Amino acid sequence: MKVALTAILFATLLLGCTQNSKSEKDELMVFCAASLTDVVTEITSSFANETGVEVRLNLASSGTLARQIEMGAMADLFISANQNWINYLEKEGKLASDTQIKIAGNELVLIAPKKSGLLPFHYSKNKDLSSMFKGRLSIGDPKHVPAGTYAVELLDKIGCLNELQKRFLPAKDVRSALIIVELGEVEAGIVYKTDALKSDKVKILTEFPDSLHNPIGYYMSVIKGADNNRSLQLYNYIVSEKMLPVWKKYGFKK
Amino acid sequence: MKKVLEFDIRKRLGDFQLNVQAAIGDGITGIYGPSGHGKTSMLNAVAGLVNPDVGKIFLKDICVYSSNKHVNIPVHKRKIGYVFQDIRLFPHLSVAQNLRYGLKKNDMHSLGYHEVVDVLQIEHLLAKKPSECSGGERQRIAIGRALLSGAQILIMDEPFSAVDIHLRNTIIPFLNAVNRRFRIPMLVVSHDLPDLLSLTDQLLLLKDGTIKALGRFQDLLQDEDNIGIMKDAGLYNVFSLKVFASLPQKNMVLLSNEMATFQVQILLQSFLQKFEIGKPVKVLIRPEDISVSLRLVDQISLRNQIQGRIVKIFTRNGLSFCLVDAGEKVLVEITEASKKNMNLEIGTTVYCLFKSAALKIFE
Amino acid sequence: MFTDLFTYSAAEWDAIRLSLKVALLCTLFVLPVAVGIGWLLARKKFFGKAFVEGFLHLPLVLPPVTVGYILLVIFGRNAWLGAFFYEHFGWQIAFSFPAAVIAAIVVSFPLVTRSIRLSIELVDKNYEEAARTLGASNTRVFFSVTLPLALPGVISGAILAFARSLGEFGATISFAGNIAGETQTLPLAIFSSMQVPGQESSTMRLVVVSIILSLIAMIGAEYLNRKILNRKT
Repeated sequence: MKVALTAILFATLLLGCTQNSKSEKDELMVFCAASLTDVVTEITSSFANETGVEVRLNLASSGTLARQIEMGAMADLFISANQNWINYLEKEGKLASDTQIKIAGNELVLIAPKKSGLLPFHYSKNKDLSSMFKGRLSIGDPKHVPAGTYAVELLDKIGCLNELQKRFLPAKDVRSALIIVELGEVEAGIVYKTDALKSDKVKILTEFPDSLHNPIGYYMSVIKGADNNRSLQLYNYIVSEKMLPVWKKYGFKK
Repeated sequence: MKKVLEFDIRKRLGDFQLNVQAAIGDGITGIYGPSGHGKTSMLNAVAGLVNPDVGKIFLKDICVYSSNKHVNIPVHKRKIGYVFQDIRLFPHLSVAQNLRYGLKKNDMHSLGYHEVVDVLQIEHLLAKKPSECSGGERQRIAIGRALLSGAQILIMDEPFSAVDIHLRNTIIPFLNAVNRRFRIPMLVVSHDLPDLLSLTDQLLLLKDGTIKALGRFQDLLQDEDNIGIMKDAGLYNVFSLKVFASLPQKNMVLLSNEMATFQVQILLQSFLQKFEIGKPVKVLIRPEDISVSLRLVDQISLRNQIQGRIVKIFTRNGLSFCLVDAGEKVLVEITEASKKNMNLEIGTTVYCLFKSAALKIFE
Repeated sequence: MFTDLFTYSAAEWDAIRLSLKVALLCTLFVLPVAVGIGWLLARKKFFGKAFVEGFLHLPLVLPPVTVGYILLVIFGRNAWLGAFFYEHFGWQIAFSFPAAVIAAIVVSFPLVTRSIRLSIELVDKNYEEAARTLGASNTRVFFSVTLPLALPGVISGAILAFARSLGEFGATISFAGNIAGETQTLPLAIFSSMQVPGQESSTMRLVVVSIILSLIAMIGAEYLNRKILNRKT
């Protein structure tokens, strides 16, 4: 009995130890903003097919990812939905120098559940958003989700921020913000156009002009210490001409 | 005598059937029999803690249970005070709170709180917790608690077995006092005959789930069948006597029955308390502690030699018994051989011989 | 940085207050129901008892996020019960303060019921029997004998409910959302501030409060238990 117990203990320890060694480096780790989930998944699996190198994705809000990298998470590439988090990490010395690049753009839209009685309209300065719907507004948490930060900027610009601020339903990333609208738990939400297009359970009420917020840009960087051939191979693949149609397919601006 | 409790019930209990019918009157009635033969089950059925399979129970002419008429008054409405063998005082309440537990404010029937406390001598314990009281004290508190709940009859399950052997008898005067002072009928279950006899003459014999006999102990003794049952726990002669005279030079006390036809001498030391002439005492002696002789014997150390006539002889379970009328009926145990050798038969005049030390007295 | 530890922002106070409110309300609602059901499971036999017991234990073994999801499925605006409440009363249940309380109630209920059931089972039935012979109805027996003797278990149960709801995260964030001032309880606030780089001191402050509150709950429980034990001897 004692022998069996010791054997089990030993096996568990061994198992625990083996998980961490990635000495082969036959796989890459990409920390990517949640709003790029579909497009980056397609790109990286196509990469894996061609090169045989596995790519693992960690998808979350850009702020969350930045925090993880700051705390020492082992990533090869970081794709953020805004420049702020890239700059932050650069200041902290976590990024490989001269590898920051803008890879795509996006737009913000106002959405509602498909079954909603609200109708699409052309955006105009006079429209009072806050009285258009009851209840909460689903957005990404402005503190760490870039989509949320942009949303706050635009609401401020159009003067609705005071009214709507108390009605925010902050989500942990923009994907979750979308799902809440899909579920019908709220009457409206602000997400990226690319997210809205993906879902058939929501309809776009209006597109917000770019002038209302800082330009939405997705930025990619190699993490310090991970600038090897493999990572650069993927890095270049993502921004290659060959991948342009994929980005377009999902509605991203290039 | 008015009947306080009447019942006729049957219930299957494991190996045997409980099948009992009885009518209990005022005063103290003892239920006696070997352990495990249904005494406690019978009490529980009467109290309503278990339901009989079939039968009826009447408490002071009110039907509390009838399987025919589908009557089954729940336990808490039956007004039966039950003093359990394991006492069961509520540990989280003080003694006073325990006592008051069953007290209803406007109940006309309930006894006076202070009177009960007084009779049971538990005044000094009121503020304590049950865990701080001795076994005997706890028992008295349990009795008080049952009395104060407006009980119309008090049931006690083996009141003598839980307590230390030296202290067993100390509860007896309290039980007598309760019965006398509050006039409450009591049903006492015990497998210990002497203790029971110190309380009462009225016995109910229970064996194998059925009542074998009901009546005055002295009368029951006349029946050979009863002897068999009672022998199991030790058979006793019981005499209700009074202090007649004291014989200080001999260190003896003379006891006599009402009509002075029966007298015994006992040691002065047998008395635990002070006594006066005329004080009633119960005297117990085992049949096997008595010898018979055809003549008075002198030059012998024992003080008691009582003349009488054999009115009955019988054999039971291999033992022979004579019932001797010596002013009181005395049961004597003898060997088969002696019976033959001495030619003992009904009508023979004999002397019952026994030592004073063999007598047990209950005051 | 050290003085930082003692200056709490309004949002942080909100989170603390909210957590306490949720925990208190949860305990208040759960306790009486758990006592009733605990007594039923301890003392009564009935058809389907095993099924009820199994069902009751579900929130204990399910990941809290799953519990939150299930709550959403039941109370969401387009879902079964939720739609009913919304249409007839205009109540939005999910993503609101009541949702946070509901989430806390659901996850702590099995814990409390277990504790109370156990302590009632341990109450010697002989005392209850004695009480009945003294004229106590079933209700009176319960409140004057069973409950007082089971009190240590009931108190442990209450503390468990309080502590568990203080720490509730998965079900709360899924079903009640992370709305500052309304559903952002302490654990949610800690999680949120953990997502944002540079918010270390805020996280620290909230964590410290979290630990202090739990300590108070545990010490309080211990103290109450001692008092009850002394009462019995």
